[in-house]
Amino acid sequence: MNSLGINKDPKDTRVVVAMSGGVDSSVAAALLHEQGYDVVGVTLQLFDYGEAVAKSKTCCAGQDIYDAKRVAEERGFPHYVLNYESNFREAVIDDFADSYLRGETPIPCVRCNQSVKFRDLLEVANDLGADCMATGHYIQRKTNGSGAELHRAVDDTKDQSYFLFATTQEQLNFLRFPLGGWEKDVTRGHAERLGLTNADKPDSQDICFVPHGDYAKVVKKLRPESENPGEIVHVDGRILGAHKGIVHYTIGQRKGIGIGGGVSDNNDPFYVVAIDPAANQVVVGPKEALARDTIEVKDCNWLQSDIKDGTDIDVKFRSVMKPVAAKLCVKPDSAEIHLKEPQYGIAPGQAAVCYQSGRVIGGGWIAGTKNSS
Amino acid sequence: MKERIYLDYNATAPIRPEAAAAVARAMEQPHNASSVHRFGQEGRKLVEDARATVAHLVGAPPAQVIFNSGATEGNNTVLHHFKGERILVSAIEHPSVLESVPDAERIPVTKDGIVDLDALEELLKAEPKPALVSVMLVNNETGAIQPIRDVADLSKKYGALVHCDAAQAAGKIAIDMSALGVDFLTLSAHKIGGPQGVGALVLGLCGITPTLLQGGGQEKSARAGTENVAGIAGFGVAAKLAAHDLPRYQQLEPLRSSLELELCKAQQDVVVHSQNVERVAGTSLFSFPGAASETLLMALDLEGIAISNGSACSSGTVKPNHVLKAMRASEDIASSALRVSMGWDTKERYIEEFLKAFEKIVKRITDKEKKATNA
Repeated sequence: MNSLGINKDPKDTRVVVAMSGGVDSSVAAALLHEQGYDVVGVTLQLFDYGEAVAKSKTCCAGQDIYDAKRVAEERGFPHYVLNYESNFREAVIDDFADSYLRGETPIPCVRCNQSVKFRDLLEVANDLGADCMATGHYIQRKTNGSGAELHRAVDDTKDQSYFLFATTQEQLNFLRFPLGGWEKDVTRGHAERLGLTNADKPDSQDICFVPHGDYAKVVKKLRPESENPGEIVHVDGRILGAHKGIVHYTIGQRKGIGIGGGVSDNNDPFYVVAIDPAANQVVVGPKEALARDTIEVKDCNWLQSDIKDGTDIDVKFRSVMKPVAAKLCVKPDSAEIHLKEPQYGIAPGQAAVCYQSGRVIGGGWIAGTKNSS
Repeated sequence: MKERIYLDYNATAPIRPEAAAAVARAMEQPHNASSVHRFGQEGRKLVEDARATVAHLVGAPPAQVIFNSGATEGNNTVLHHFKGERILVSAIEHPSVLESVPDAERIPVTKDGIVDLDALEELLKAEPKPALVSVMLVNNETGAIQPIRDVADLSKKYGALVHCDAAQAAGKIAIDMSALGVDFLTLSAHKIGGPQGVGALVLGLCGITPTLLQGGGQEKSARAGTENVAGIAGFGVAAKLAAHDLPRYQQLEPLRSSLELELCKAQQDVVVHSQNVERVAGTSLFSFPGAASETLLMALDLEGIAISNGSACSSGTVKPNHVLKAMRASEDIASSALRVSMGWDTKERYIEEFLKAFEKIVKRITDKEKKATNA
């Protein structure tokens, strides 16, 4: 068995590495190449970078594709750019915009992993005769007798398991995550040791197709109706003011609602409690109105068979939060998650990802929430 | 390492060893061809010798040849000269023509990728009368030979001048500029086994000298900038060899036939483009519907075989094939097109190797699909 768990010599093991142009996937590719694997780097052109920043169509890629290519050239392994603009537009960008119109808060990175990266690119890797596909994600794949499991990364601050919950068992069998067992420092150390051109590149923070983090501008351009002004109403029915389009609001939001403080009797701040796309209303209320103890999820993906009703789990319903305790009830096409303690600011459109002592057992998309107490 | 096989001559041909040697030799001396001293005079000789052989390749007088940096510059130079006037360009021109004059009217082509002469005449009749018609001699993707003589006759009848991008024709078919009746002809050295970064604009007898670069008296003030003496010397040698080897190039025809025959035998749904019209011997564009050409191209490259699937961008991504679109090919056909192009150093076994690799890859893809449908 080689280090990727394949019964071949590294030189006879073809690994397609999905390279984003960032440090992590560059290190993953360069290290596997250093270990003698038959590495093939692939970078996806997902949108017209020139059009996104300058409104002019170019056929040229942004800095990220250039960086990935330079790493491959300098290390001496083949690298290809695949144009997935139309797949990405359909599966990710359109869904992102529509999600806001439904009053949700989308996570395009999960959609991208789920569709473009782990479905379409994986198929290409197969077509190229690859034995497996590696990425620079911080997540661990562990094998036991019955197949591959997905576990949180060793580096808690880098863990990307939330974004990868939709990875299917079949995909997971084919995937490898060489960085999942490391702290980010180790990766940076390797990048410097290998002299990668992008060793000092900062981690990306933004959604790749949203320049300067201005997501509302992107949504506006695609779905002008997301900017239609409407009413801001209190949970008790009072109209408190006007909003400038539901795209600007997300559940749990406190700042920038645009009605100021001081409207409630005891001067407590207001939070966005619900978004009603049909009435084009933003519903606000005190923090208590956000409390929920049940999450309904749909379009689920489970990485463990025979999950018993009421299984104890930890759940994350936002990427940046500590998991909280809950019980899971899996139904044929959906699931219900019962939280031990009520939680605040659970937004439809986000994912609810379930863990058992660090292992990702799956999750689903938040369709609705309830409060039974 | 496994031997790599190059079948992408239409992108760039391998340099002829004699041309490479001429470039290296010329670079050994400081040759500014405009200098008065002996170094300059020797440089001048290299340039003028090359001018004679390049002129000979296209049947033009040497004095009509202006050296430049390649066909992109040549095309830009000519088209920019006519900006503001009505210009007709064929829909299958190279981007260096199409993007020079984005507002130019497009002459449609037939399903076989041949410029539609009836449509051209309609466009020529319309007022105001076009000043320039630009049609390539050989299409870079399909290899289809365009009826330039007819294009020129028609254009003359309506008073338009004619530009012809002959970058993909030189060394593949005999070119006689005066017989073709064109006013401007562009050439590129690296498509005929010369170095990259050098080419020529050949003028007809209309008396117009389009000029893009200013600031020096080089090339009789038609193209400013110190001459690329070494490149031009290599171009000259390559032009001489290309003219001499024209009959040899035609021997690629049976090789291409067997390639297309084998492809169609192995994969029944393979479509060969422009098969019903006259093509240069060494180019074959075909589609294998159902497989993305991007994937096939990558998979073939990993097997050591270099071919092409359309016009590559600087970033290495691939744009949709505008030539096949103009030929009204379906999306599926256009996105699964592959081009094999051969030339002076192509051997029979290269095609055998290509076919072997192609069949292996197609089998891998179709086996997977079968597995998926059975599952």
